[in-house]
Amino acid sequence: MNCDGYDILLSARLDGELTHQEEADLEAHLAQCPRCRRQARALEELHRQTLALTDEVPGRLKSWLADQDWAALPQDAPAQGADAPEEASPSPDLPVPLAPLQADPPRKNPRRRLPWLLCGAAAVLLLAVGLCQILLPNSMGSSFSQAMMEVFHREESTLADEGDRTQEEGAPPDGQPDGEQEQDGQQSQQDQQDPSENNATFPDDNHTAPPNPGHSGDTNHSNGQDTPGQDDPGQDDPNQNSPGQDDPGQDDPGQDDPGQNEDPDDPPANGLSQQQAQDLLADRLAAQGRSLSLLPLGASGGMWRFSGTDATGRVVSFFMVNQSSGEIQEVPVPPPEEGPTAGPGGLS
Amino acid sequence: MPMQDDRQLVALAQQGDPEAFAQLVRRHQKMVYNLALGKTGSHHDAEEVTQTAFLKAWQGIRSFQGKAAFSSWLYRLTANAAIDLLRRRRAPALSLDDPDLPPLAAERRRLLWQAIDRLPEAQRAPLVLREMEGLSYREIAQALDLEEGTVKSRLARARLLLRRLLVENGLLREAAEEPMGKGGQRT
Repeated sequence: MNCDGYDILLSARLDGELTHQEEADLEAHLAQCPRCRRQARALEELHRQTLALTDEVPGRLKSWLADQDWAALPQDAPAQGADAPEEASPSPDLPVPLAPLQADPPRKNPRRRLPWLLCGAAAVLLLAVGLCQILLPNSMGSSFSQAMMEVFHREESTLADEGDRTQEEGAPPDGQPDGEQEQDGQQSQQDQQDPSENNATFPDDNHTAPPNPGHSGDTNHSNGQDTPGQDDPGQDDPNQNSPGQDDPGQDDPGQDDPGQNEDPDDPPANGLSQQQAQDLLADRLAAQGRSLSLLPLGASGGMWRFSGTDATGRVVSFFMVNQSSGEIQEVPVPPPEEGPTAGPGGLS
Repeated sequence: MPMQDDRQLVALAQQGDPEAFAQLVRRHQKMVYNLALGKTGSHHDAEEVTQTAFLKAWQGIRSFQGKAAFSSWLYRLTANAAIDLLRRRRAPALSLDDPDLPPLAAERRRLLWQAIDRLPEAQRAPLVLREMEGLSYREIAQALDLEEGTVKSRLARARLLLRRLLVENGLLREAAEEPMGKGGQRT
């Protein structure tokens, strides 16, 4: 077996899906193949991260889902037409399902109705207006990415200690009525262990964005607006020699709605522009006597994002400016403690 | 209870069988919730998105023709619901209170799902069922109507590609060379 074949075994090992023979083969190969040892570490790290970033479904949401009287909610007639785009939003209207949620459901557990959901009924109605998606490039800059990596890198020691639940051979995902506690425990533990995830909110004393041509928004980076990764994952098969035969006939659900999964990063109609946000942030920093170079990182989740670089070129903080309110959040990046960690531009 | 594949459950749900749909909900709720969390960065919003996604799935399931996997269709519904919610959240100030994840935690989840988004669908579906829903290879094969060997190889490819994408977007580092000395690989 070549090394590509062992990649499959390495992956299956993470899932506890190896036979004894495969396990033995793999161990023997790993003992003599640095490439595959490295690959093993890489896949283990990926696995840990994925697990660490996967949250349990909160108990109340699980209960809500379990208690839904689906039969009482109407279903739309099937979409007709040769090219009926099944992957597009199947039902731009959501007229009736709200009623059973607001009314007392004649159902198993009326006690479990969620007040916040009821309050959100009007919001769900708004959603019914339909989805008009705008394709926007992701504006996460590579400098930002590299700086984030510095932070994530430091978190790994904590993540590495978290349990590996995948060895339990995939139990069906149900029957966990108390998932909320579990989830909360995991989450808070993870977040508490993570010294990087503290954040400071600036005093919210200034919601306006005065034009300020003299802000300190010079950047030390030139490529902050790059879209991460230009290659097409669909054509990018790192393992051409895998034995499994994939059927090519599956349609890609993304075809019919290109870009619908992009973040809606357009600024609000009457919100802050990126420049205004940067000016606002620069003013605030100046008022605090801090001197940082700000690099715009684009928008996501209704926030303009910036990195702040000190005189030594280290990214010391990330800033998020609310596009609507102008509220500023700061996420400090802890200083590196050991060795010359890869800073922006210094990957290895 | 023998595990039914998604295709069977969808067919039943399309005839109005609530229990079949409830099974689909149980099977996919973690994926939906985590995708929503990755997109919104807020537990509260993720719950709302999850509710909306499943409501719309039930309502629209008869338009689902089964050309793609149900989980892919649901994935899109969820992503769209999240986008719509974020858009609505523009007007009122974004809540930065308790229900939200700490910014860096939210950012990490966003980067993870941004990369998962970019996986080819054929790889993403098994990966999500494995990592999020914790299904065994046999169960994934049943759910997606695939051979187990196909599941196995697609998972490996999904992981290799996902890892590359995460190195690109900064969530992961390149694997170091032999950090623990010769032959010191972890098991």
